[in-house]
Amino acid sequence: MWWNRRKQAEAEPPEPAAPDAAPADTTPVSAHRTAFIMLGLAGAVVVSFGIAAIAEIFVWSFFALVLTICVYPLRSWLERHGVKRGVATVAVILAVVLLLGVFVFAFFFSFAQFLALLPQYTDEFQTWASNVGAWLSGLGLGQQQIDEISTWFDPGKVLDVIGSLVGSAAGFVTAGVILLTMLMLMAMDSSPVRTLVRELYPRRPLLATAAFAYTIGVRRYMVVTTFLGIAQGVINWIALVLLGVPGAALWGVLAFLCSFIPNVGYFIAIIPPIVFGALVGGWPLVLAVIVVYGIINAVVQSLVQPRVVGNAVALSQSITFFSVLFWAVVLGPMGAILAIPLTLLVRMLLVDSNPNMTWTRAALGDFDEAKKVMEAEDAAAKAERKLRRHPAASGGSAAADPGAAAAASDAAPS
Amino acid sequence: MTRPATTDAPTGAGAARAGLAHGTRVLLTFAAAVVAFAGIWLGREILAPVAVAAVVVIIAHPVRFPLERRGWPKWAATTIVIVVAYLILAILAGLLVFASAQFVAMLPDYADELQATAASIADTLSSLGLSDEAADATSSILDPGTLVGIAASVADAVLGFATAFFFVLAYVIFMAADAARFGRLNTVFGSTRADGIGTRYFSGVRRYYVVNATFGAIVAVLDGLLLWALGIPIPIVWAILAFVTNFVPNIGFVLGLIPPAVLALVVGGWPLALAVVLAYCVINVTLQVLIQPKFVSDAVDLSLTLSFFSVVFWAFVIGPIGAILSIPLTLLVRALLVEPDDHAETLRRLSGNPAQEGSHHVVEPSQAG
Repeated sequence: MWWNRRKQAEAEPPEPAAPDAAPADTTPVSAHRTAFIMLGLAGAVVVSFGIAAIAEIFVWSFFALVLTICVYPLRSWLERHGVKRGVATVAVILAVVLLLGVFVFAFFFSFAQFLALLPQYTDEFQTWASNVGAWLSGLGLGQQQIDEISTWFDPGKVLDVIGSLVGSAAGFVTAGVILLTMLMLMAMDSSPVRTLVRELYPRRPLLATAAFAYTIGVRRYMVVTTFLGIAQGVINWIALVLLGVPGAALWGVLAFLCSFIPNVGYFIAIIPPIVFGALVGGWPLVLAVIVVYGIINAVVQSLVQPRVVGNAVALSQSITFFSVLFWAVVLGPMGAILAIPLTLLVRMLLVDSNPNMTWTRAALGDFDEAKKVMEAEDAAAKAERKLRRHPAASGGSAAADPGAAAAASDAAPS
Repeated sequence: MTRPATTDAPTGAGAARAGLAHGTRVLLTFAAAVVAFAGIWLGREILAPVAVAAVVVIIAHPVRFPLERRGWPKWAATTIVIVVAYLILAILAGLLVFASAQFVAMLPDYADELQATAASIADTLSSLGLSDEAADATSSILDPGTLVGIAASVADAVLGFATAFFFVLAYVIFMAADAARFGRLNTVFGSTRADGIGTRYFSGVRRYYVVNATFGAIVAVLDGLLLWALGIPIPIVWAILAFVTNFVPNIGFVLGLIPPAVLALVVGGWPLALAVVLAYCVINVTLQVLIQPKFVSDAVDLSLTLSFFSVVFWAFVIGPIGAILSIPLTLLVRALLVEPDDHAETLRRLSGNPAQEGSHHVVEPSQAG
């Protein structure tokens, strides 16, 4: 399988270096250090361009890989219950196709519903466009720029924007063929993977562990995000229906899709309902949409998701945000949706499977060590403050820190 | 196996294993550098916001230390860091927006005079024997239609700028939160030596911008007062320009001088323009060339040639913002490539960093003594 080949090809260079990997402080600097760094950076640039050049193939093949990883437990569950390998393969394929089918159906159903609604709003769109044009010429812009900007408000353009999120109609067919074929082939090939990884372990323990951890992390993240995304989409849909925003179902599907884009997705998902809310109900409705989306998004993505995903991903916020932008530029909209699995793949290939690079894990966002240190420091600082404040509290002064003061006064009677 | 003649570091076992001839290695390194910088150039739109946000967070990060010593919770300290970073960005953005609005509002008033001046310059040029072509080009640059076109394209660029600014704001939040966690790690960059280089880099960047902002403010106030006294229109805009261009090493002063000098030429003819140029030169040469390097060179230790080259280079690679960020970017390249490498001792000295704490050459004598 292509990703296995690549894994091995990429993992080979670090191997010979591994034996003389002493603690970092004493490692002699290689005579080729600058050359290696520049070659590594140049290699990254060239690989990014290569990936961008085959983005259409790459993104759908990778999506198939992620889906295969996500449904793999179904296969092992079936095999544990004595189902034959061939039957398990068919069951896995059916499960994935069913999931995709449900999504595609929901998407097209809501899209068709929205399309039927759209002609009613053409007039409103044009009034808007002329209003904006008048405002812009008031600012002193030329007619040409205004015409350019007005075309953005063309209803057809709106459809284009939505359509580009999943690819154009022609690309859709190609993508579907690649995706389904890859899914079937990967489902068949996934049957011996467990054995292969087990055999790989004695020879390349780090690579095997990293690959295993990668599948677990991606599965956990994608499955959790999918369920939370469904919840978010349905709640948004119901809320929009109650508020009377047109095309609620489509915006629900959009919210589901965008929930896979960390940090940025929310802002993309909220734009169309705001536009249509403004068309139908003016400012009050826009405010209501923003408040509803904000609350739902904050609860799901800031409170629920980190707790459920936990340390499975362990990417820092800065890296996450950058990876969304980076993969969106390299691979297009699907790159933004798959940003986390893609970045984890890069980390698995370059960092996790390479003993010389483990120190970068912390800088990339694996804060386990830092958290422990922080907790210890916090406890120490708190104890110190308590000690310091204890005599002060009895003296009746010092209440700069209410928490510490309260703790001190709690401690005082006992 | 040829060893580079520039190394004065002890050649260890690593050198004996070296597999590439020196020339090949140098050529490969340069080829790779070309590819890498081409990649940065092509990706500048997503990389520039990262660099801006990183620099702002580096500057604002120390705010948290006194707060944490006073027992503030971490999230509150992080919030204050974000607030300070946003204040810096808001002040800069506010100054720029205010200056451009003033400038655009002033343009129509002086369009006729601009054209007249351009015509007279064209006459002078042709009388000096320059071809009409050059003269035409000069006058077409100052054509009010062109100026309006420039203004419109500026308005067009504002959209792209707003997107990038939004990214910067988002990065600031995430980076401030991440920086709080990095601070607690035992080693951030893998070894104590690398951590030393990192710490020096961060404090160098911080000092550089703080010193530059202070001097920029002084220069801006002096320039503004001077222009106001000479009766140049919108002196406050040129003061702001002087403040912003002060962050561009070496040639920033020239960039900040051109527009007020041109305006002085339009308003008051050659004598006024000469007065502006002379006064600017006195103020800026005294402050920027004689006094400021004493403070800045402490902070960054970059040779003058290198700092000038880095302005041109980074402005070319990541656009105008690269001129303002040139020093931190060059320092980053040096911290990544030159400082950890004992073989690159000569290169480091050439870059303007004569001695380095933590390297063998300094540690050994101090241990002996």
